[in-house]
Amino acid sequence: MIDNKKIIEQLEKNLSSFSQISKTQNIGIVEKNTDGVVVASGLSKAFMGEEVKFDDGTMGVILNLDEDTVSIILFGNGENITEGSTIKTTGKILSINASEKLIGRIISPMGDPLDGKQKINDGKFMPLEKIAAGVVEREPVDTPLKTGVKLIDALIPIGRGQRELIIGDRALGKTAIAIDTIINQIPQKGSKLNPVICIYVVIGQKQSTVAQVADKLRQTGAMDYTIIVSATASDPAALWYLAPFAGIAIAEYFMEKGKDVLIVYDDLTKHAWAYRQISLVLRRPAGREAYPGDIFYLHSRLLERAVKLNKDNGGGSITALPIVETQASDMSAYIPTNIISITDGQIYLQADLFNTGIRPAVNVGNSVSRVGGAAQTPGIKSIAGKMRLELAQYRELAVFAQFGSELDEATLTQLERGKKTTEILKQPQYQPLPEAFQFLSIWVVTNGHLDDIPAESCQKFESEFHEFIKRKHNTLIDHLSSGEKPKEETIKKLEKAIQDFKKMFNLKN
Amino acid sequence: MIYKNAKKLALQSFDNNILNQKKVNLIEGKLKSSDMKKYIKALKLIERKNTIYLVLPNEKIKNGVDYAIESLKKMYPGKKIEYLYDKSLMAGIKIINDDLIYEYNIGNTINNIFLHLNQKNYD
Repeated sequence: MIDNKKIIEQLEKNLSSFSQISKTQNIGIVEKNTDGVVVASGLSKAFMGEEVKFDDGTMGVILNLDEDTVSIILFGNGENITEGSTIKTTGKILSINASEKLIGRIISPMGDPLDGKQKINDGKFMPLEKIAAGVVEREPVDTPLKTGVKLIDALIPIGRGQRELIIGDRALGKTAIAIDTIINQIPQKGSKLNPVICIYVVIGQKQSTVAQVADKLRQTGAMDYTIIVSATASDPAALWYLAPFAGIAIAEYFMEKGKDVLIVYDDLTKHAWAYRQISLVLRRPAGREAYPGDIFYLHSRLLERAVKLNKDNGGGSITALPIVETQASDMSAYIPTNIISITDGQIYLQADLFNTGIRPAVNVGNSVSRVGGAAQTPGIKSIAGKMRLELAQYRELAVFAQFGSELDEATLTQLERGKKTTEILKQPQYQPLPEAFQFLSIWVVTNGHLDDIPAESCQKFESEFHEFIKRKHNTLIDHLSSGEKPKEETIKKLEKAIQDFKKMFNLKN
Repeated sequence: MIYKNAKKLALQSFDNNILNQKKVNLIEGKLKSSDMKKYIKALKLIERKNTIYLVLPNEKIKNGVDYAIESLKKMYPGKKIEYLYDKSLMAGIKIINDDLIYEYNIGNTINNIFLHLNQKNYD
């Protein structure tokens, strides 16, 4: 039983923070309630982005201020809000309660728990809308954020503080890349990089998909450093619109503490749809494809909040991986081109590659990272350049080879090497590779050790070689995990190891 | 008719904050029913803006708040002052000036403390 004194003490403690009794209220009267948007008269003292409360407890936020009326988007379904209902201002700008306790949780964009656990009330209120950090507070992106996907880490490296778009048609593995990246942030032994907190923002997806993702993250242990902000298909458009802002507000809380954060927006196409719907109901003028005129600003102000702060400002970072879905591989549609121009590069997934069994189905020619080598460890950088060149030559030669003309031996060798490189860059879902093993795979193919292995055996060779190194040459893994460029001595050891392994592999097969 | 014009028409219907019956009758005869709705809405809005409601817990204390009436008249010259009664105030007064409500009563204070202790303010 709780002691009476303790209860009274607790009440006194709570009351001591009750410093100001609200004496003035600004009220409004509902005039119209249509499709999640309420038009109300009164509320003369309300400001843009202010949270308001209806008499049935539903919350909303002010999005339009007109001469006699204000327009409010609702966070609930607003069934009980009728003409004449009263609204009160809260004097509070829309914000979310952020704290370390959110890690491992699934929450709505309003901070309500969706995982059946208790609501977190203590924490810091972070505003959903905030001006991004300025030039003085930033520093160049130079620290890698490892995705664990060989192809991406080698050819399209992502840095901490970068914004890298993942773009492609439906069901090509866009979410898979993002999830792999989250899984790969499990703290690695020997890594000099800071741990990363991940935030996965769900916009307009099926609840079953969210449950599946959460389950996968739990199974792999990634939920220990991940927060899911979820606005699913059945939620109102207002929540779809607010979800990425809630995600970035939480990310900023951790960044202010000097931590590195990864945020995935899955996906911004649906976010644009939600904003279009709200804007049309608000009767804002429609532009191209019926999107409002400020659709570019909506995404640019969101993605600009991804940042790498300098040491004077805590040195934290937010890396953003927005996802955009294209229709029939049309990269030149309105929203994709907007976001391509905002971000620092894109990973383009192509249906043809996916259908021919290349996974991840990344089109290397159309993908780019504008940060490039600055966000690569010296180890990977030392071998990735050669592979990039070989792949480019292969692509060019492969076009000529299609004509069936006779090819000289050097060209055939190059084509063969290209095929092997493509094979080695294939990687199954949910199996991100640590840096040391990425180095081994790329080193093996770029140094011609796969030239005498049939293309169909390349993946088997790769996995068995990894196992072999783990068993027999564990010290090599420690050397390669440091991210430093391998010394001559290490390379010699590797050469010897591959010779030994090849003897075994050839005998077995 | 757009609402802005209805508002202008409604403003013209007042003489020194008092609705002119003749003008209203004249306008009523010339407006369609849809326009009439807008006109009535605008009239109500102006009337609301021109009136201050003083809410008291009961009629008995009406004479005891003369000082408040005098202050309000000075603060808002030209506005009408009307009385309303609401027992839930318990003690004290509430002033409603258009969309602003000033609460100086026990009922509201107790409500606020209750909400604060239950952390229902912004949950």
